[in-house]
Amino acid sequence: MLPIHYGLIGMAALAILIALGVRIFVAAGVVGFCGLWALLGFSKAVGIAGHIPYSDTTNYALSVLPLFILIGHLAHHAGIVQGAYRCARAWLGWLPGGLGIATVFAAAGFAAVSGASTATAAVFSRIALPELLRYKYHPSLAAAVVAAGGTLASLIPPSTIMVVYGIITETSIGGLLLAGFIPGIISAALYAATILVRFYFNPSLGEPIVGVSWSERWGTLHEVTPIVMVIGIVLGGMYTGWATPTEVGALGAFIIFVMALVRRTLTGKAWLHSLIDTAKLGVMIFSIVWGVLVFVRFLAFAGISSAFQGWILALGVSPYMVLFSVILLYIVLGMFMDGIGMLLLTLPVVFPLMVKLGFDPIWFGIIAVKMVEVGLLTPPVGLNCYVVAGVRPDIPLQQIFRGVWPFVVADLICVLIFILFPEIVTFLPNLMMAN
Amino acid sequence: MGAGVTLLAGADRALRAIELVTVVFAGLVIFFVMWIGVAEIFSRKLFNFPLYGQLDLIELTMSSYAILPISYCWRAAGHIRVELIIDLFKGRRRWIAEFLTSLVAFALLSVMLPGVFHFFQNAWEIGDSTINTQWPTWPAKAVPVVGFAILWVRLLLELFAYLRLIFCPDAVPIAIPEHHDIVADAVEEANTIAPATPAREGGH
Repeated sequence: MLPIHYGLIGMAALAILIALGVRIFVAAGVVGFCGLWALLGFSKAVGIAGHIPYSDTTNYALSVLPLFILIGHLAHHAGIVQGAYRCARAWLGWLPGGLGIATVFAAAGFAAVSGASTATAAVFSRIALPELLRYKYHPSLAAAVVAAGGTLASLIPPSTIMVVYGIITETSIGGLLLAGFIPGIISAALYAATILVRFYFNPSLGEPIVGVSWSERWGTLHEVTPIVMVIGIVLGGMYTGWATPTEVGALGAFIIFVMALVRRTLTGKAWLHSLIDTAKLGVMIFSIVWGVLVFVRFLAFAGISSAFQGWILALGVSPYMVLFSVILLYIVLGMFMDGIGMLLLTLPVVFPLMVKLGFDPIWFGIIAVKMVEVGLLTPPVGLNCYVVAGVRPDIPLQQIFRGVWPFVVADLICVLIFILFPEIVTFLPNLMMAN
Repeated sequence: MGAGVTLLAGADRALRAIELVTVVFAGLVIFFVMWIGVAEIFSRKLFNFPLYGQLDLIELTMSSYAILPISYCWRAAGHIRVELIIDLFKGRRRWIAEFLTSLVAFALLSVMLPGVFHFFQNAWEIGDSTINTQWPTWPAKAVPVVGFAILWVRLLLELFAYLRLIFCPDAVPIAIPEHHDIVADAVEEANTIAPATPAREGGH
């Protein structure tokens, strides 16, 4: 049997183990180890697999990950969501579907201090959903707005999933974080446009907010100061290169920590819980990283990646045809899998192919993360919809899934825009490189 | 059977305490890294004086949160997996399926542990150190050995726990991961930050 055959058997075995419910890091690690054993012998496999967990996770560039997670956990306790929501509501509430649009932009604002989509959806289900329902928004639309708004945290920096993409593909994390900003704003704008269009055709979907004075509006602006500061630090730090992503993450977490202390919203217990939750999520991601890297080492010895590239290039199809196939693959996988798992498992093979076909690594990162966002909404495992239904059991899950389709279409339009005009994505990182 | 269950529950409690220590330690290290990062920025930008060895220090602390609390995360069912198929099984079949997935993990840890230990042993024997600061790396490389060893024991315990449930499917489960899922966690967190008020909840 040739190494490539071992590689193919390994990929099939990995898919089967994951489908059967083996934890992703275990499945990747076991298949990778067995593959190395088959190709190189037992003792070499033990040696290679044994040094990967330490060598490949204790790299300075990766230390940004827990800090970004910490920003999100601390931000939950700093009263930032409520402030962002009050501000967005005061400024945008008068529009048709204004409260829905305000929810989307408040979620986008909160995304700037949080990298976790499900957490954002959960908090907005508690804060924004009751308001939306009070203004007679159709429950299906109200829940969908919250579920979709939550996904923006994946794209808008600081994003956990973007850092994971950077780790596994060895793409500049700073460049990726910068690149996510404008597409994040465009995504939010398209969600808002979706709501506007729906209200244009059917104004009875919900009541507008009237009678907010200008002084009230100006009065809410200070509520978003922490968000503006963190955006400024992350984007400014990356753009000018005055700090590393880790330092930017540390400063962001520090500001939110101080803000929570000043506002007296962070108890000792909540602080400890934030740290424990950060460590728990961090070790989960790091475990998949080393598990997948054991698997990737096996794939490299088996020559899978280059063989795969050879097959695809030999087909002679257009690079865009391949790209659309990958997007289709992500739509299907996203229906069943968690986004981080989906990216980590596919990128070792897909990413080198995309680069070989001439696509920009940072640009493809944004496309991939956008597809993760789609996966958070689509049934049967659209996690954000489950989260909203979990917070509001009175809104049936099917109703939420029905409501999110227009937002899924908006997401796909977004992807199309980024494909047609890649400069939207690469503009900021290119400016940074030029600096 | 009674003595066995007591022993299993006792071992689980002891291991949970150890796991809690690892995750609290990991969290505190992350908090410490936050302060190091902030101190480095201020020291470098305001006083043009970069902190000595901060890069090496951050790298040496990483295994404490990237690997050490792996068993805590396992116990809390924090490691992600696809549950569509396994959720279809109920009763004894479910326990058999869970036993097999844990067995795969136990096998992986059993072959990883010697490799991770050898990596640490090598650093200890040759006196491996960081390039700039010449700090020894063996303490940081010992951390994965500890983290993996705790998970190995956890998995061994879990295999016994599932075997017990396979023989008595209706017994009260002990020493297995707590499967309150991501959704429940998110809901709980939302509740702590913005508690539900009966008036707004529409009476449900």
